[in-house]
Amino acid sequence: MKKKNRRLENVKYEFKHNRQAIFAAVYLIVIICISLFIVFVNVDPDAIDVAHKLQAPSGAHWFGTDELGRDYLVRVLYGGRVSLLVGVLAMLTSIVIGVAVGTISGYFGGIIDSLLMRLVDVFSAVPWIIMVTVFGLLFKKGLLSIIIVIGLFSWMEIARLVRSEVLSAKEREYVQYARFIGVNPFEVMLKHVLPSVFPTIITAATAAIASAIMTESALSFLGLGVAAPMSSWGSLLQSSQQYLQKAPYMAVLPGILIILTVYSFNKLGDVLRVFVEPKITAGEKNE
Amino acid sequence: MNNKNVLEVENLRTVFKSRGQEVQAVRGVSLSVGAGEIVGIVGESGSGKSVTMKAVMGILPENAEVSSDAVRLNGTELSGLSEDEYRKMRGKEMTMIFQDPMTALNPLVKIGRQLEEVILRHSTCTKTEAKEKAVEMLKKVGIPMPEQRVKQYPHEFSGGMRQRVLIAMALACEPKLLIADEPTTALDVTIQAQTLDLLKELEKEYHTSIVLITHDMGVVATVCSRIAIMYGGLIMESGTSEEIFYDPKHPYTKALLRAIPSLELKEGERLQSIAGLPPSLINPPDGCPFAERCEYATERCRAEMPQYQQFSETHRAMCFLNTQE
Amino acid sequence: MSQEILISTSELKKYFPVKTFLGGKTKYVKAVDGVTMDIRKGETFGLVGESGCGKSTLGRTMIRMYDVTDGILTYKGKDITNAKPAELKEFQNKMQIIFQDPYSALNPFWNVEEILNEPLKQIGMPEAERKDRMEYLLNKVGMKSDDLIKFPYEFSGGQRQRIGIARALSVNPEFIMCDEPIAALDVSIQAQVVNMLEDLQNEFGLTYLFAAHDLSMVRYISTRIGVMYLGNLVEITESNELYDNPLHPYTQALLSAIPIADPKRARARERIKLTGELPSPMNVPEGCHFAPRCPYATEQCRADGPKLREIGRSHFVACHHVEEIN
Repeated sequence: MKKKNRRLENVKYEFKHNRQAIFAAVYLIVIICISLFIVFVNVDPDAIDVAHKLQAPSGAHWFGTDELGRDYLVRVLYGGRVSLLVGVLAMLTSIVIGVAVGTISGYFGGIIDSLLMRLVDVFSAVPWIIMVTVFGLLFKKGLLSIIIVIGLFSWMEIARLVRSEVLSAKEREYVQYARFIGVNPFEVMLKHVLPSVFPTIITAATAAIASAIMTESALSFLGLGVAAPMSSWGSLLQSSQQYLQKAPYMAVLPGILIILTVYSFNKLGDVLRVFVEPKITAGEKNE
Repeated sequence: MNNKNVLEVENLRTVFKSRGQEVQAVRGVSLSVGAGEIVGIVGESGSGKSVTMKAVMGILPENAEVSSDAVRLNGTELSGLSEDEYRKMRGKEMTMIFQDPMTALNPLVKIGRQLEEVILRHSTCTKTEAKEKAVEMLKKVGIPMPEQRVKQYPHEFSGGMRQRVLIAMALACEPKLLIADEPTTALDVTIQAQTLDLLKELEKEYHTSIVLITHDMGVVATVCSRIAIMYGGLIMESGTSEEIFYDPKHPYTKALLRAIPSLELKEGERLQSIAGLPPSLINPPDGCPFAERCEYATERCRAEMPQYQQFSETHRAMCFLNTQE
Repeated sequence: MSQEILISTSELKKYFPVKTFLGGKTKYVKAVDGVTMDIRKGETFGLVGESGCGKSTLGRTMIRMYDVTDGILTYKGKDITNAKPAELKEFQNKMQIIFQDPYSALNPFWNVEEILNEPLKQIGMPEAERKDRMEYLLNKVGMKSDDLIKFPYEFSGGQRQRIGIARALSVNPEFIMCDEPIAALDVSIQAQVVNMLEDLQNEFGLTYLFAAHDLSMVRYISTRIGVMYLGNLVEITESNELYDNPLHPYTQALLSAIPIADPKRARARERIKLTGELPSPMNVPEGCHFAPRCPYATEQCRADGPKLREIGRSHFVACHHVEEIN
């Protein structure tokens, strides 16, 4: 269809003329592929070799070994699986909650809006790090609870953003027209209002992935994250601090990967916005 | 062209580059504005009327490429000026007001302060003098109780009043040239009439030359002495307002005049619409841009760009019709 | 022209509540403040007035896009003032709307087919018939059936307005509220759209309410015209009569302010200068709303709002002093 073509063209143009975007895309593809396929490679991230602990990078171990003599590169790559999984799933959780609350709140207004927005206030008012700690103590440590906890405490900003977009979208005349001819409210919301909120959602989603990875790192750094021997970038960073003087390289690798991933997701969000918002290019007749 | 012209533009072109595409917004416009006259530039959206004057002001976005044989303001060539020199010209020598008066004012600063800043930036007077001048300017543009009004914020002014404030601001430094870009489009008819009256009075009092950009034939008929009709990035016809309204030569001008419902229109008579759409300026046609919609168009019109034909000292049109061949 | 009345309002009011800071007393924007008028079948009723006078709100309240605050609204004699959505359903097919802004009137994420499909689906037209109907409609508004797969951003403003008109026509309406349909269009395109609206009216026997601030265009298309000022109708009469013999001081000022596309006449003309500005509809003055700007205003005007009364043959004016002024 023609619209799709035009949008794809815009995105292609954006990629062609934006080196950072190319880098971000290539980096993400590579890191995601590695995370997906590393299980098929015959290396064990938990293979302990105490004889070779805390070795500096060498031909045998490109990034050296950790305090138990495990190959650090392999551990970091396995850690990426956890970090990316947490990022994406936590993002999905917070987007689903945030978009639902924001849309319903903005579209129906009145009492519903007041109640939902107060709920948002309540959630935002509680320092998340405290809540996360409490949750961490209550629930079994593990990936699932981390994802839920992060998702549960990061949807408020998205809800607020979506709500304000919905408020302006529902005043648009095509939305008013649909209501006027009696289209049912949920259909109006789904077909007319949500698409115009999409650019916001996309941007918020990429930002949410980035911040979930950061949050997971922070949790792991505080020792509230994934349990050993499982590793994530955050937990690796956390354990590296004890050996910062002996083996500084242990902090560098996961650190760099976190920064690059967060950056790439943000960049990707910028490009995706071009896709969703068929921007009026200068060539278009404006009449 | 005589030496009394405040503004002389020769063969001005502007190209916008975006996403690998080039939009030829202005395709060779020549124009002059005499001292103390009001010149109207009329055209539909996308005709290049605003872009032309923004190019003269040097305020186009970075993706615009402007070229010209000459752009002279009071005899000074503008095209080679550095950004710094240009900035000095703007405000003092020439100034521009826009359609939406709200976005042009800082909502957080009192009207008086905003006026004083403009006055101080372009003259050597003291702060007290600037304050007095601000009040005086507001009085000039017909704002009642200017002493109180200078202490108010933009949101306390109505649309018409804000446009007056902008005109006051524009005139504070007594520029030679005032460019008004659709200054009354956002205003209601009664307020529009007041604003147009004001422009006419100011022209008489200050001898400021005014370029009025608009799409409304009624507005130019009311205030302008000379008119240029733009279409597809080119001036199709220019002349005194009498020549344009009573003796139009270009088919586009004629069609435009016929499309306005006149008060004489009889019951049952239909409006004469112009079929079709304006040309795209990405790949503009080789020939006359109006050819596709013109009832008189021939093969030649589509293939070849017509030259200007002079009908009087002031009146010329870009069309093969009326040629003595 | 038939005398059959299609829509009738009596003291119709539409107020919008405005929340005040810190939960103070709720204020109201009195967008429509007691309008009594009829629209006859087959006519084009022009509604003129400056921005914020409530003409758009009046039109939208008439088709029950908005709820009525007070007063009575009838459609073909049937009271629909407080009709519930279910009861409204049959009327909404009869009453349609064309919007001012062709950019926000069409969903930018939908193609023309999806846009036209929405009302057809809503009236329960079988899917098999819809495509033919859409092609027929596009043809009626001067577009091609190829355009069905295109998206709004591929069209110019004038073309979008045509799509909006096709959408309004899709359900075979009797009445269309035209909410400034040409204000956003270029002069040469305006004439195209207005001519098309006239043709469609003749073909389908439509009745229009044509709200606009371009007085010369309204005069051209309208049978009768109502002049609105701050939520009130101040004058209603036949369109030529209004321009030849305006009686209300506001109408006179408004007409004298239209720029005439004729330099000699424009310069020779005497303009009636209004002092002051349109007050905000949140602070409507007591009595006659126009009194603060009216050169003829007296104590009576400021105290007591005049009602419309018939001065000449079907010429209604709301002014205490019409006779003395003219």
